Amino acid sequence: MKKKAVRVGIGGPVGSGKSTLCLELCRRYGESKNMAVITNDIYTREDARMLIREGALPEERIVGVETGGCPHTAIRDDISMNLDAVEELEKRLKGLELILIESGGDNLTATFSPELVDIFIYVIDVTEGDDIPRKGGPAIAGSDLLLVNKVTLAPYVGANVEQMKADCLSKRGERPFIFSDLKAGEGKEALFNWFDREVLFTDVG
Amino acid sequence: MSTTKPDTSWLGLVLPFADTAAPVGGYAHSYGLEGLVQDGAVRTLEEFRLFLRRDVWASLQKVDLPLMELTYAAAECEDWSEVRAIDELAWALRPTRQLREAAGKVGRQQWRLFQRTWGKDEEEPDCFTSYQAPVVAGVVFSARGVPCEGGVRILAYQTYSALLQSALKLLPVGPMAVQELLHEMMLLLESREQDSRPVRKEDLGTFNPLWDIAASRHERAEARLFLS
Ligand SMILES: Nc1nc2c(ncn2[C@@H]2O[C@H](COP(=O)(O)OP(=O)(O)OP(=O)(O)O)[C@@H](O)[C@H]2O)c(=O)[nH]1
Ligand SMILES: [Mg+2]
Repeated sequence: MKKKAVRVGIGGPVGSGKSTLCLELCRRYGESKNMAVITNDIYTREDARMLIREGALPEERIVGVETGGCPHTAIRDDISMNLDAVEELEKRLKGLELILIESGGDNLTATFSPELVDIFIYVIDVTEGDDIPRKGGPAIAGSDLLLVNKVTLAPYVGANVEQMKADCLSKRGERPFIFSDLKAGEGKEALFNWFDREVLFTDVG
Repeated sequence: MSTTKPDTSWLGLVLPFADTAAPVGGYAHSYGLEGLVQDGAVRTLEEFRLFLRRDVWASLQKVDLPLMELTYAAAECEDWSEVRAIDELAWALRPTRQLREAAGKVGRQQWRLFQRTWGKDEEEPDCFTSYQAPVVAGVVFSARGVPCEGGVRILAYQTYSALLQSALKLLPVGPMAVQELLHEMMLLLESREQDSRPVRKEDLGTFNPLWDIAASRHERAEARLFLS
């Protein structure tokens, strides 16, 4: 059987840092892994363009998909456009190992279909309200990794980070979460360690 | 009075096939409507209604419905090379790349879905080149005993409901108005003249430069919600 690329879903509300996470992952793994990114843009190709501009990956490895204004439909209820994009990338890039699929920014209920991705990272940030972890829901509670981003901004918006951590723990139990600031570089090592272990299985050789 | 019950088992196939929730990517297409809206050609409920009644209706009557009917007839005789020729023709009849791809992508997914469900035991006939939606529909309907006339209604419903759903996002049109328009269009369908002579391939096609140009401009639009 042909080996398929591992597909990682990256979801979360508007502006939480999904594209920034994609960029960081591309910078970290772009050289060592045969990888590609699919962005689900809401209206423009801004996200795909940002990744190209930042030189995340060569242009032919970045695909933007329009989703008819329904970002959650495109990653969960009707994933056919994204599967098309996956198919196209696998045809274009022989031996593809890893595909990141960034969802359009959406509400807290959006999760990825298990038919689309193998593993699912949910990105929120501290400025969107420190009660978000407490609100729970399938993505907050059930994603394979919860990234709570932009922690260095917490003092400016009066977000209670300790309370957020406690809420994450109570909603997620054993499931991992990382408080990060991708701009300031905080939490990146923990993130890459998780990625190596849970996505790439580098620890088992 | 006849006591035989009409066979309606085909409805079991048709309902999920026509459902807008079927995962075939329909919701990501506006079939050129977004292009028309961006060009300012369709702005109001009245203009949208006119577009449905005039342009979409013409394309249904002159392209999609006869394509399905011709396919259906060929599939009934298992004339797969003819179906293949119709699929190629259907592809060629779409005036822009974007519209060709839209009909092909949705059709291909519909066929996949059929193969996973009602067509599980069916052997795939070698009859598709680009999986144009009306051609896929013709093959599916014939395979599962859907009466051709029923198929016509389903295809028209799918076409209109896809456009109406995208209109909700593109135009100042509300959900109740959308249902009223759908009702109106389905009534329009009932008025379709049943010509006694069979549809001929050489009669297919429409001429609608405004729609075509809007669809092809949309292909390169700076910002867009829909794939087509
Ligand atoms: N201070 C700070 N800013 C960040 C961080 N991560 C992202 N940003 C900024 O937040 C803004 C949004 O980041 P993106 O990565 O584009 O967010 P997104 O989730 O992809 O946004 P959408 O795709 O529009 O939903 C950008 O201006 C980023 O530079 C962070 O950790 N700290
Ligand atoms: Mg983004």
